[in-house]
Amino acid sequence: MPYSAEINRAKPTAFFFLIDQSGSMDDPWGLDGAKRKCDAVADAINRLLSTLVLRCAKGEDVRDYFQVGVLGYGGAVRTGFGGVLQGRQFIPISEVADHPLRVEQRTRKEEDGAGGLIERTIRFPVWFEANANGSTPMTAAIEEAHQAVRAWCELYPLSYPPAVINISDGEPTDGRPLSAAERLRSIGTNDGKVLFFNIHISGSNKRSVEFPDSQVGLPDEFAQMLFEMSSVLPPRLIAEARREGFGASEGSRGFAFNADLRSLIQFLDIGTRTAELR
Amino acid sequence: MPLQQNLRTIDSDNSAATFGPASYSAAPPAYPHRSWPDAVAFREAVQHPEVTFSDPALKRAEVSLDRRGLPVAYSGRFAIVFRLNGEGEQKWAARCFTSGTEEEERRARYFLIARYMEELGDFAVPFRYLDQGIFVNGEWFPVLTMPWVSAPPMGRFVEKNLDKPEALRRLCGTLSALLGKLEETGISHGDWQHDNLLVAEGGTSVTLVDYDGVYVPEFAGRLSPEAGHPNYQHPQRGAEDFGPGQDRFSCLVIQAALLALSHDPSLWSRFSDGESLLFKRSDLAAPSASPLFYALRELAERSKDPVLADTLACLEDACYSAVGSTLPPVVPATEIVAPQTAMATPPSAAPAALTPLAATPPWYATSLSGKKWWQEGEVTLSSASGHTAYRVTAPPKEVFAYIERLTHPEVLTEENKNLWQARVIVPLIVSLTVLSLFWILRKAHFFPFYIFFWLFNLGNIGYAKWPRRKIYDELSAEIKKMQRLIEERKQRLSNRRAALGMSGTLQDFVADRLRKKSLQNTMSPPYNASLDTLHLLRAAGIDNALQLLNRSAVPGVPSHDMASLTRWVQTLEMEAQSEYRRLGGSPQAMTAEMSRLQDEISEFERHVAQLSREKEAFPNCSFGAYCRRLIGRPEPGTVSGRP
Repeated sequence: MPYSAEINRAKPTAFFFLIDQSGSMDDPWGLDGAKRKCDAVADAINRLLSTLVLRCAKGEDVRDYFQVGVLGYGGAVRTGFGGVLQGRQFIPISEVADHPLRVEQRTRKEEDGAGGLIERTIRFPVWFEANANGSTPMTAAIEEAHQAVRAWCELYPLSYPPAVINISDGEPTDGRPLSAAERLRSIGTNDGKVLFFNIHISGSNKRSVEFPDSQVGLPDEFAQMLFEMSSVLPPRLIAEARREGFGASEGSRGFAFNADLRSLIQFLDIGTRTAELR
Repeated sequence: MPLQQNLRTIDSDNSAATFGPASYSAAPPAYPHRSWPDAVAFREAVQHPEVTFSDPALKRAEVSLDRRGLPVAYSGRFAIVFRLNGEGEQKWAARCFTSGTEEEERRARYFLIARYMEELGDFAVPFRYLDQGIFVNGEWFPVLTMPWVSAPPMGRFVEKNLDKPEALRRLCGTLSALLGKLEETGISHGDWQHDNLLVAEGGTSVTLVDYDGVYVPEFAGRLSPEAGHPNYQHPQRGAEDFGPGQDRFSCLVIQAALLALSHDPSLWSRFSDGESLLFKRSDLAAPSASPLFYALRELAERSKDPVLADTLACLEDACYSAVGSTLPPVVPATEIVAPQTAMATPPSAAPAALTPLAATPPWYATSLSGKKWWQEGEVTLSSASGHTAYRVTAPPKEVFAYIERLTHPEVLTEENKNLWQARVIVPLIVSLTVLSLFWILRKAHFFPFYIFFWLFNLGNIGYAKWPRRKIYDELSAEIKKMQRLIEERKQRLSNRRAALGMSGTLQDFVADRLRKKSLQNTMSPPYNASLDTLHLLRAAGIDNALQLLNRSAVPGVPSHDMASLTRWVQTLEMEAQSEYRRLGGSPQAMTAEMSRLQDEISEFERHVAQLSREKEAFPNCSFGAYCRRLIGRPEPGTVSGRP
């Protein structure tokens, strides 16, 4: 049965994120426009990295069940981690946990449970910085992910297959990435093919579409292309998506169109769920 | 919030699902589909215990932080645990649930479990389930609080005490005592493993934690909420195996490992990988094919230890028998002397509005009613047939994926097509060939080359394209590939070992490099040492760079030559240091890398062993077998029931 390999330290799995850092990510997100898109995406990725670290945390030590890579594309393709981790493709999660760029103090207004609001500072580790300029070389990014993930799969042939997650808000400027995406989806481990997810985030307030199972209802050619690029969800993830309240069915693809921040975070969470961890 | 005064005690025969009064003021809030916080949200919330927790003792506590200033967390499958440092030396554990499904069910389970945990005494930690325990994103969520037990988990205890066989054997006896106590009480824990058993007092004291999978008599006829760690459970254990005596098998697994380690600590580095003591699921699924079982049987014979031999036999027998038929442990239970360390006063778990009365009651009792906390709530277990209430994944059994493929519909159709084509085309080609040959003999004008074409087709259509053979070839190729990977890992491992062998520390590594640099190298530019200088150095017993290190002067050698030689040594030293860093930084990093490689090798070897077992079990693929299939004769020696 594919997508069922046990994950342990000898058989880790990997996550690879492709993040659009083109100029359009500088626009405000949503109607209130409080946040730039690139800031929101950076927050979501930092939060997800925290989630992944916590899934492996056993007290002070973080067990290396995962390896993580981040690639940004805006003008050119470059690795997304900074500091000590810069320039490396797949980084064991324990090293990720040890080397955030910084731990920020963020202030939040929250309800105090008695009808009032209180302000609290919360420590928030940051690995990935927001960035927005240049064109959208998505095809080149997918090509590079393909190279990296293929090398990884050769190293870990028995592992739960890696997931590649692409977050973008616009059309690629370097040609159609369909064939690159197909090459990426064709590689895999003994346990199954690579899972390729695509998230399109929008500036508009149109209705969002998550985990669609056909192209019907997708507004334009670009959405249809992203749909075609995405992997069909394995049964376990369909069940997970349903549990989170998404209307996923057999044949649903790992694709979200016009996602808002909430569904972006949920989508990332579902996309990185794997066979059970101990 | 005032407590209801009309509480009544539970009738002893009221063992059905419901007990307690219907009107409980702290009844669970009914939010069927509220959005549940994730681990990150809980970690953010616990950074301010004074506002997030409802329990007064937790409010006054500080959360433990790691070196980056973030709360230390222990992740489980259903929950995340934080450590809180209360007043004085008292520490608390706050267990937050990361999933909201079956919230009602979980609440009811913990109310029932709490009653039995008290009977276990020091084997378990008293806990309290607070419906409104933690405040996250403007809502209350449940929390399980308990005193923090600072004893190390069994995995770390064993690792630390590998050189103390008596401690390991003491632990064996304690585990037997624990099992006896659980069975006497009629409950089972369900997930004995290296992280859930905390060991103290040199192996004489054991504490169980993580009660997610506990069975108590009220749960009879239900499905297990979790399957336990696969490396400690019966290979056939499924969701319906939920009852008393469930811990016998894991007890045997642990005891066999402990007894074996007490004789031969080197087994630890050979077989353990941090996710098990020694046994892995694959060992338990096929004891006869397991290298570990083989090693342990040999060890039992060599050490003439009847307890180990019996435990091992008992375990092996249990692996082959049905799930519920495991025998009790061979190791006699040691009598447990209650340790004299009194537990510090736990937090008063009464609702915040209540002021503590004169005498501080035990924290699991309620000060006003005098009842235990779990007696005041109303709990309802959903009907036993509500199977959907429990999410269970049974541990997978050994699957022969390739053999299974033989029964896939498309493979069957393809095989039928292949056989029928062969049945039609083979006789056709044979007869055409005979006719052609006959024709040649009659009028031998030229040789009909098309005969070769027919014969080629014959080969192509028949045996070479037999689906079963193709699958068999894929299986063989997979085994070859895995063996190649194992070889490659072993190569890397031996390289690392060689590098580490000569470089225990940075100094050793550098010294080794310098020792290998002969003085001859200095005769070329930029150092240009003269032959005379070399002779003088040799005479002083200096032959390589290491011997030159830290020598400021050698009699007879001119000072400018000495200076350039010192420069040479310094350059070499720096080169060696940077090479050392390139090789993996520190011996620790290299050892970690090596143990990872070792884990991978054993993981791959297990996979190859499984594939080889599959290859042996694979039906006959020879040409003879194909011919027998062609003429529809049954095949001898193949799996029955297959087409």
